[in-house]
Amino acid sequence: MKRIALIVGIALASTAPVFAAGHTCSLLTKSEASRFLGTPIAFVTPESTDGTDDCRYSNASKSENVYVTVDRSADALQQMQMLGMAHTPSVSGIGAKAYFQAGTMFVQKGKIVATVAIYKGADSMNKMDPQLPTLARLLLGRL
Amino acid sequence: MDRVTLSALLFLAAVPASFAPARAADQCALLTKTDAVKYLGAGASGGMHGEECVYTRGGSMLAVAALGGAHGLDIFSAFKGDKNAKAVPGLGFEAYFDDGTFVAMKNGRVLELDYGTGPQDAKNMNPKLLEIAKLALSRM
Repeated sequence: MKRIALIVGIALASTAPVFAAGHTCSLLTKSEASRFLGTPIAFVTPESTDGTDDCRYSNASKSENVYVTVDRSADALQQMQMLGMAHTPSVSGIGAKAYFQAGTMFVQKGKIVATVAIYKGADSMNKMDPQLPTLARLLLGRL
Repeated sequence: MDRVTLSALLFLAAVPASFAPARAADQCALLTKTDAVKYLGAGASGGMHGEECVYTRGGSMLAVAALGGAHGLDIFSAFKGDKNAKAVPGLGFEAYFDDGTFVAMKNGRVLELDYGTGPQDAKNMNPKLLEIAKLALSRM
C-alpha cells in the first residue's frame, strides 16, 4: 500500500507543474510567440543572465524577438521594489505587481518575477506593444 | 512492468527538468575580438573580467556587459536619475552616457558599455560608441 502511495505521489509530482526551473522555453510555444511577434519564429534559444532562466524566440534574421525571463531569486523581488520606488509606470490587472519600462514588462506572481519583451525594432522599445499585457497574463498563468 | 520499475521511471522523468543548470552569461558574445580589433586596432585582446568582457590595446579600452535583475536595473536607474548623465538620442532605445560609460535597456537587460581611447572620451561620447552600442544591442 505504501509503495502504491509512493508511486502516485511521484506521478503527481512529475505531472503537476507546467513549468520547471531551467525550462523557460516550455512556457510559450513557437506558434504562440510567432502570434505575439507577428512574424514566424525561426529560433527558440534558452539563455541566462546572472543565473536567470531566459528564452529568446527570434525571427529568421534574429532582428526581432519575444524575450522571456523567469527569476525566482530575492534579487528579482528587490528589482520589483526598485521599480516601484522609481515611480516606473505600473500596469494594473496583471499578477501581484506589473511595471513597464524600456519595452519590457516586469510582472510578479508570488515570489517569482517574470520579464517579457516584444522587440520589433529600436522604436518598439519606447511604447508598450499592445500584445505585451496579453503575453504577460498568458505566462503568469503557466507559472 | 513492475511497480518499482514504474516508480523509478516516473522519478527519472521528473528529475532532469528540475535540475538543469543555468548557463553563465558570456558577455564576450556581445562584442567579439574581431569587433575589438576594429574599434581598438590590431593587437587588441581581452576576455571576461569580473562581470564584464574587457578588451584593451595600449591605453585604449572597450568593456561590455548585459546585466539583468536588480543589479542591472540599479545601474540603469542611477544613470537615469543622474543630472550629469546625458540622454543619448538616435538609437530608439532609452539610453544614457556619463563619464565614459553608456547604458541602454533591451529585453529587460541593461547594456553597459565603456569605450575609451583617451581622456576626451570620458567627457564627450566618442562617435564610434554609438556604432558599437548598436552592434551590441543587436546581439542582446
